[in-house]
Amino acid sequence: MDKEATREAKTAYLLVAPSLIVIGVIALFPILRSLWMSFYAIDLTLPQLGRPFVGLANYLEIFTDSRFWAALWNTTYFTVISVTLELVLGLAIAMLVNRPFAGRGLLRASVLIPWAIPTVVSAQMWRWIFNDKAGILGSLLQNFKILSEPYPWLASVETARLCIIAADVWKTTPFMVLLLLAGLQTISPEYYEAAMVDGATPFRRFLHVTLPLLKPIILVALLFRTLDAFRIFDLVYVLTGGAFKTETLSVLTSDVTFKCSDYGQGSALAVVMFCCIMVISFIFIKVLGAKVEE
Amino acid sequence: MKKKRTPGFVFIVLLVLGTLSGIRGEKLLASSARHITLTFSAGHDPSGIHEALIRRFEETHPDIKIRVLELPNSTDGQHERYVTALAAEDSSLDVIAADIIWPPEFASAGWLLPLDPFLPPSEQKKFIDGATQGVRYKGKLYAVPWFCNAGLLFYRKDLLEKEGLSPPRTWDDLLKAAGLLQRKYKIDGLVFQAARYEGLVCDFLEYLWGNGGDVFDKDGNITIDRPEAIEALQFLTDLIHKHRLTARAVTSYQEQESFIAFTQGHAAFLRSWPYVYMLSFGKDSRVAGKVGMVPMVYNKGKSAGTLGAWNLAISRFSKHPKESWEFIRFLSSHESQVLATLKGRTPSLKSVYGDPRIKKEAPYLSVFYRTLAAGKPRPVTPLYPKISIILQIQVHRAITREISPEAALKEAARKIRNLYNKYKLPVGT
Amino acid sequence: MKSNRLEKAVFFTVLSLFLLVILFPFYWQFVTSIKSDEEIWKIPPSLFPQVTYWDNYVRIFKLHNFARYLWNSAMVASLTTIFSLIVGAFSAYALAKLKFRGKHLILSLVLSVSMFPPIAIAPSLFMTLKQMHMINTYWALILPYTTFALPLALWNLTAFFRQLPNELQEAARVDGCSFFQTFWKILLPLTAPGLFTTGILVFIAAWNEFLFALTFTTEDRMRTVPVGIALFPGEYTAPWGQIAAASVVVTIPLVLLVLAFQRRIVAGLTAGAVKG
Repeated sequence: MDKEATREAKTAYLLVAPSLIVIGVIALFPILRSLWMSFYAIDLTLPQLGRPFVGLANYLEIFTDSRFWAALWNTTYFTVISVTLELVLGLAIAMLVNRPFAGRGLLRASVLIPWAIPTVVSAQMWRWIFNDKAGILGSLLQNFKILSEPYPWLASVETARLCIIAADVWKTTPFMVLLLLAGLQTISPEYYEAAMVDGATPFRRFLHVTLPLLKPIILVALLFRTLDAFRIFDLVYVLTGGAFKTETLSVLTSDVTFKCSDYGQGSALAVVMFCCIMVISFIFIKVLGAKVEE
Repeated sequence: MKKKRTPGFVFIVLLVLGTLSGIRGEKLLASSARHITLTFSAGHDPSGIHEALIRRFEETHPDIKIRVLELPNSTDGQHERYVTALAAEDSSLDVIAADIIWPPEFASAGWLLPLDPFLPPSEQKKFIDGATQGVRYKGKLYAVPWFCNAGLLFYRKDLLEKEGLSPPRTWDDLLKAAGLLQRKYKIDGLVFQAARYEGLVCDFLEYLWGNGGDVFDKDGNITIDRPEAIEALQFLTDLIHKHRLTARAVTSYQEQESFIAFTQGHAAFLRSWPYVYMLSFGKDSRVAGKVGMVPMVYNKGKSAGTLGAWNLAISRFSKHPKESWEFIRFLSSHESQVLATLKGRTPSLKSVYGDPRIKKEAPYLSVFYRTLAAGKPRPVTPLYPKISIILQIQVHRAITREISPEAALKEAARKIRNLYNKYKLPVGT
Repeated sequence: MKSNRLEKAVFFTVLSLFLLVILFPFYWQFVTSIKSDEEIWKIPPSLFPQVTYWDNYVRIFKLHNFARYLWNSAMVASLTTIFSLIVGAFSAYALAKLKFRGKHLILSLVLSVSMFPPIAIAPSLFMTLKQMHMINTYWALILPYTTFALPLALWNLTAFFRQLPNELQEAARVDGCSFFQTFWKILLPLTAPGLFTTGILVFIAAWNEFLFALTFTTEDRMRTVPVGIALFPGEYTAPWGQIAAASVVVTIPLVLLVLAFQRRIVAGLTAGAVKG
């Protein structure tokens, strides 16, 4: 029997080995390498300077640069607002459609489409909708007499970030709806019946039945959406390129690394971003108790 | 049970054999061929000019074949590609079509061959001066200018004539003319490239130079925060916010957006590059035949358009420098340039502008020549790409009124100084 | 009765609004793609094209390497799908059905990958791929995509393997099958629906990826569709009609996929978060 157990474990290790190898080579090694590179001055275009060890200089440069703090703030702002909107809208719509009606299949298929198409493609769609001259948004608002002249949606600090949020909400709210809908369907009607008997108002039913039972799903959904939103790159890259106070950490990191060829500082930024993600995950998993493993 | 493994095994064997034979095949091909293959890397060329020239070259040089490596359109994308390939001493690149701002950077890194041995100073003088100046580093020439651009001011000839105005020469002229046309025709007075990208720096530099300022002075001081520079940036900001002469979204415009605004008839003036003139006759243009052009406006300084140019350089890691030079000599020759010019390019050889065929077919080139002759390259330093990012960000912050022009340029100067400190290089080099 | 009807009216109004907002951008993109160059810039823009004009669809194949982009995307996405399923199924079986130490550690490791910010890896992964001479090859995309699809694949497939009764495995073992044979011959075929669902999700994710594709391919002939479209605008021109046409072309296969397999996709998407 012992031999059997050894054999079983041996097979198991062999079977998980490929996963561990790819993860090790493609995910863990690069992160460790970033950590290592972040202590050196590495500039591809200045090979004559060598690659001297600079200690914490890269980090010091980041933390004293207002551009970094602005990017951190922009990223946080974007993450909080869009994830909140997605959750509220997603929950409202999920509760609304959580009933049998004709055309549910159609609804499900249509909400999947925004999720399924490449973000860059939907970003281009939105960029065209927001165009200052021939954009349909401005034109419709002028038709309804809400605007008197075209508005530069993507060229003003007030609206550029809202445009990015709108495009993100459009793409991911449907996903939220599906997730929450699946959760709602696991709630047994008995809970509601019991609450009705107690004379609970719809609002109280929502507060005391729906929300607590949905909490685990909401937390998981929030965690993944938050991490996703925190990494946002495509939308900003296409819609504003980071101008108008929309530069996020991902865009900044890519700029420093690839446009300025400053791999040392780019790596330091990557490490900082990685730490932010760790903190977010920690808060969700340990403090709020999101259960991400069975 | 064991026999069933065969298909998988056979598959793997086939795969390995396939790979091996592939490698052998390639080697055979290489050894059997008597000609040399050069790699010419450049951006996508929808005009077909590259193709035509290469065909001619291969006809006259049967022992050299040219392989074209097509790179993304965006200059940034191409730059990234070259940086990573050359940093790895990639020997697969031979002739490189380089933007005017790269050669100093690449040369300081030791990635390009100096071309003076091939092209003596007497020959260098035949090219437009500003263009060769931009591709020189520490006194040596690292690329041959191929096609040149300089910023120009385009205007609606029809409207200006109707109002009896002459084309503007100074900032004030521009303010008056653009203001008048904007009020009268309900169009935008002026459009240009003011998104946060390289084009914004090009546009800003023209106002800076036009006001007697510059990024560095001759003695290696940073002068970007001097009063004349602040005044130039203030003027640019005022155009947008005080005089409201531009499209409201101009701070998100690159070449394409400003081009469309102008050719769709939504703007009276446009600052852009020579290509606009040819394309303004296009099918979807509403201003065909109504476009005039003048050198960039100025104030306290001299009119100067930012030079943009595509240049031909040889990678130091190329195994065929001689043949590469042969190819460059052909591409940049008078005849090749005449051919390309007739298809819409702006040549770098002075002699092409005097060619009778060009004078007949492309008389508009005389205006280009004047602006090119007065054109200035962007700061010639290996750190330019990094300096540009700093300027893009700070100038954009000012023209979107996030901070004042003075604060923006003070910040830019501080960051440029830090940059030189970080890399321990003398300022301005 | 009256309130019921009112409720229904409100319900369908809200629903239609929701659908309108979701679908309108697609409509607009399609309309733009069949407008002529002149009409695209007409102000105000027309909601219905005056003349249908199909040239943009021809141009994306003629003026750009769009066919090549499509081929690259299809290759990369299919190979990624195959690799993730193979690698994922191996590990999922082990995690779901075999007893060994370190399960928890492996699970958390895989899960942590789904939290990695791609940009934090891109610079140093670029250098690694460069050293391995993989830049501008399909491998430069397939390997990272497989890695980043692993959490999803493992999650879904582990759930599927768990559902299979343990007796099956025990019976096979009694018959003399090794653990690997049990997995390969008996259990894997039974998880076909799970493999299929997971495959669709991985395929879509790989088809849509942008950041790695932008960073790890630098030659035009190696670009995937999302990068190709993002870089459509030339140095001087903004071909909105062509961008729209290209978007329509990439959207169509995804719409078909979604229409055909919506139930599976939803099941796969919600499998991890919703238990039971």
